[in-house]
Amino acid sequence: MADRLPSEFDVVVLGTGLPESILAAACARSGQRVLHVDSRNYYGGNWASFSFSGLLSWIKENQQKTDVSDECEDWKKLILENEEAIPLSRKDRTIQHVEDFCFGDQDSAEGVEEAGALPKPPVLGASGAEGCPGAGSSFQEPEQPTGTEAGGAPGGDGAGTASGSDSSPATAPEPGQAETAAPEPPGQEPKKVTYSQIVREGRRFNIDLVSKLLYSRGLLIDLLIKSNVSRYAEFKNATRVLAFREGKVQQVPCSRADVFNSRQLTMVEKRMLMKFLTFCLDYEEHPEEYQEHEGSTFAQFLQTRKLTPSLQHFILHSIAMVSETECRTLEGLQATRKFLQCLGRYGNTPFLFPLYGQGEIPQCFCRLCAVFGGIYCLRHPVRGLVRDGASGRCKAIVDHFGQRISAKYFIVEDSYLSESTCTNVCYRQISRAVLITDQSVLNTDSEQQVSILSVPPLELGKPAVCVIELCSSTMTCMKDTYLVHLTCPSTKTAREDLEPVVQKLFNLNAEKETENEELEKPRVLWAVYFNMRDSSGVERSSYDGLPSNVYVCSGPDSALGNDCAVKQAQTIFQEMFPTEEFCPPPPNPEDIIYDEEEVEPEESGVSNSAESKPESSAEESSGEAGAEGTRE
Amino acid sequence: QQGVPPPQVLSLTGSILAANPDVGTCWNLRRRALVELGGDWVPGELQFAGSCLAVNPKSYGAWHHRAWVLGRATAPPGGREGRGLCERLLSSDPRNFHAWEHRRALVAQEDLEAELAFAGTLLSRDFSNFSAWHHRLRLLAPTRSAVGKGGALPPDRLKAELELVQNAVFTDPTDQSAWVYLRCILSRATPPPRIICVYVNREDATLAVVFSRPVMVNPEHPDLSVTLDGSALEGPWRSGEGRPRPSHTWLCDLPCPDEATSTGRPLLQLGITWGPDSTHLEVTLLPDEDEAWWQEPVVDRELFWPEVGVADPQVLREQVETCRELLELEPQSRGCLLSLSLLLSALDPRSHAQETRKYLQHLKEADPLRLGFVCDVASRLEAALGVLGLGSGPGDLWLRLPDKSMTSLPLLERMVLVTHLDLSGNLLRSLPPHFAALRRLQVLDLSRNRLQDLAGFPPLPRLERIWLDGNPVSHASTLSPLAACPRLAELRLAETPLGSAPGAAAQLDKLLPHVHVTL
Repeated sequence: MADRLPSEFDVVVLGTGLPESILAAACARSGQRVLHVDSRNYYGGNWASFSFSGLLSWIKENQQKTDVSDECEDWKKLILENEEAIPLSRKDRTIQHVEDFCFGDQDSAEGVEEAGALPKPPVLGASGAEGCPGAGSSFQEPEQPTGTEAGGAPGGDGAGTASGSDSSPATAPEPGQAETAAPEPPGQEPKKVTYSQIVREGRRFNIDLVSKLLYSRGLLIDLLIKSNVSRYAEFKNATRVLAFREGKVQQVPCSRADVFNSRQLTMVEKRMLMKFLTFCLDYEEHPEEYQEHEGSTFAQFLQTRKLTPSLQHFILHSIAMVSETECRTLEGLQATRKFLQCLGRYGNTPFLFPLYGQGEIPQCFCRLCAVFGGIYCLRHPVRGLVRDGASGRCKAIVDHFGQRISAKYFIVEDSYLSESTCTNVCYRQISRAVLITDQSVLNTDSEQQVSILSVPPLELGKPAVCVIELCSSTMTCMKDTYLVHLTCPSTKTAREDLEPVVQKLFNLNAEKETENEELEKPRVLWAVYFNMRDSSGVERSSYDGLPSNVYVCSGPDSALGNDCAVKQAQTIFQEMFPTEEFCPPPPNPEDIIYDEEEVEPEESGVSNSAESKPESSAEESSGEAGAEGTRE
Repeated sequence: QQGVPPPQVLSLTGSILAANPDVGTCWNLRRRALVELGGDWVPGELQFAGSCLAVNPKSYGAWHHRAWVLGRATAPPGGREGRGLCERLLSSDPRNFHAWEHRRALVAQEDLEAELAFAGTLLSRDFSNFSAWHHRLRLLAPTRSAVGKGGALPPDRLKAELELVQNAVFTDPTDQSAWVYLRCILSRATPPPRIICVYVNREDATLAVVFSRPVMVNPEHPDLSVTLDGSALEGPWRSGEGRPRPSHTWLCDLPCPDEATSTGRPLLQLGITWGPDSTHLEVTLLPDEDEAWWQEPVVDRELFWPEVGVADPQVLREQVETCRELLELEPQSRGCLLSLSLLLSALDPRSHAQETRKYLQHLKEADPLRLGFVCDVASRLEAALGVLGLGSGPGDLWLRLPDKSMTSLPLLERMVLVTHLDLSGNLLRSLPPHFAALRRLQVLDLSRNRLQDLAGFPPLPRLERIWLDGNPVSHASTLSPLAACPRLAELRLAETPLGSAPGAAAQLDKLLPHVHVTL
């Protein structure tokens, strides 16, 4: 890295997770000079998505936990007399208990190379590692399987191409389109996917660290539309909502069309369900219907509504998705209403999933930030913050090159804060599991289904487990496989929390011939469990000694939607700039008059122009791995 | 306009229509230019109309142009292209009735099951789609040859359709489309018009033929022919209302008895033949009789809802049970209340009279916007119950329908033999011209209704007394149709605005000199 960064910015953002990225975009959009750095070599932090090999290296990294305890004190020389240093953490402590399992012949995969893998040292990192948000067309590159062995790249619509989320279901690439050219040894059963195939087709995977869906009337969708960031991403409707009842997976009729088409409901059930759902939509107008049950749980309230047990189960666990024992009537009604209000905007379920994985979303906001002049550096650890003794405010950061960069505002992701800052912070944990399976938990005529399944607690006091199953047309897994994400708030380690559910839904005995019932269940080909720190809901006051102009963003929360991150970003932005609008719609490109100087770096994507902005394209930070390596 | 060369017309109209495909003038100019131009412009024009439909998928002009072009094509392009267009348009708007109509034209002779499945798919996406239901109905409609027999659906098919309807109405009973479909699929065949009554009166020297539905009898070439003692009568036929329009009642004058035999009362042997269904009826007027008639016996279930006649009563009973079940859950469902009322009356109007009345009353409360329609349905029920209770035979025949909240007077064609009709205390605002069917009516009690006038009241040959007390009749001139009733002797107008108006008596005396008027 020959050129140094400019030494002065308005806002410095540490971490490229969703809230930080939204904030970076909002700040750049309102005219602030933004520096956005991440110590990792990929975008998204714990919101990232990985190719299969990328995930394997992520697992390795988190299992080894190499101690980077070389507390390098050199940088403190840069601190002036009337200043104070606040060191930042040098290692990521957010991931624990990573355990991966391969249910197949792993040895056979020895020496198998990922199709299209770069011969260079592994940048295999995140899918987005090579994505340069500022670099115009090259943004879509990382998502296209460039491998020659893999045959044709998926149809022209890469991740970067614009398509309003409004039209997403229609424009979602058809599965066949992308996969037709995939190599398939003739004469082999297409269903039988081996571990070596997974490795070889590893680039077809985009495995999310955090598993979420977008509520189609949620805050994130509104923000994507308002800020026009939606044009950087494509979405697919979740196609069905499932329930797990009496040991069986069933489809939940949740929309009017579903109820009409359902074969499992009797006529009277149809009416009762529709009647209740219609009531929930405007329950506030009929207080007499629920007032006397306000004190009881939602589950008890449902029992009074002449609903059959299966309908009660559907509403409680799959529609409201609330706890049977804890949720009060009003909360349940609110949750049901939220679900129902999201129906029908983009399809028959309330959820959207971003093609190529959840990790796309932070990158989309980064791109908006870069378009408005934000500067990006990945693999750029920051040693610490500099606090002005007199004002008590933070003045600058010192990066790992020892460069001091001053700014007015600092946005820091929770995991960057040192242990001493967080001594009083009490974190929750999220239990996660990711499985690659060979068939869907509920096979129907169409193989390409995006399903959400809420599994009620198997034993009392445990949380419900949210299962999201993705098919290959979401561009997150290879053909003939399904990517299954399990999420719940932790009570123990991820494996202890989630394995019982995995055993209920899937067949873990890979090769053994088992009785018929087991055969019907999907086979797990590969699995990983891990715990992720949930820093949402941490009070700011519980951080020790943070200057007032340092704002903390939390990592992913365990909820299904993204409202928490959006709300957080909006709140912080309004604290920083109370008079500015949050992510207003961008001006029409035709109305913009470019200065010659500004035009060059942003449009060309090549960092060869003005010395004043040597890094305005993020290419350097992420692309030139070799150069970076020598520095370390 | 005349001088402009056709290619220029095409390009000019093309640019206007591409922006706004609803300018009829441009389409007309374009068509004229195309005819002038000659050559094979069919594919190009089809494409152009298609692109205009992309601008406005419901543009009448563009659809018409398409149809015109296709009509001109020597070898119409295969259905594939047209169906592609329809499918595109229907996927963006599944209720585009133009596209449905076009699709129907294309697939007229093609696979029925595939089409049913297609309509089914769109319904499964959103069943509030009248067009898709209608498409099904048209596909399942009895073929032309079976019209009249009203070809019932195969039981399996009917069951499947009724299940579809049930799914829809239980999912959303407020959606009208499925209820309409239910009624349509049950009432598959409107029975063709037939003669239900023939009445001949010696004094009036008139033969009246009454049909089950209004028909048109052409005076020049009548489908209806009559013979008197073996020799054809020339006619001419006139409608009971005196207008050359379709009517229930058609009248034919009998030849006046010869002067020589005027005192005699010959036996009249009449033969009536109705062409369309070759019905032949014989009515004999005996010498010592003044009148003679033939009347078809009334069938309960055909009276209230004639179209449902072919449906299996078992199917109707099952539907009644379904509706009752739904009504328990949704007591205010309008579609359910109406369907249930119709079904019950079709099954057995008399034994379900009270229940049906109750449902119709609920319906009036649940659906105030369609109050008039519901009242008419209720009126039909009352009239049907009255007709069913009617006796027959010579002598006076009374039909009493007082205080029934009737707003209309249906089924008059079934009341030909009534001599005394009591309609007092109803809500009638006007009298239908079909009154002409009441050839024997002598006394008509219309007191306490809402009649302001008697517009359209036909001349009734035997009407002697008419009671209009308590109606808002205010002008003597509105009663002028009564002047055409030859036997009218008594008119009651007590408690009417006219009754208390000064000079009313004089006016009425002038208008109706032979009538005794009570004011």
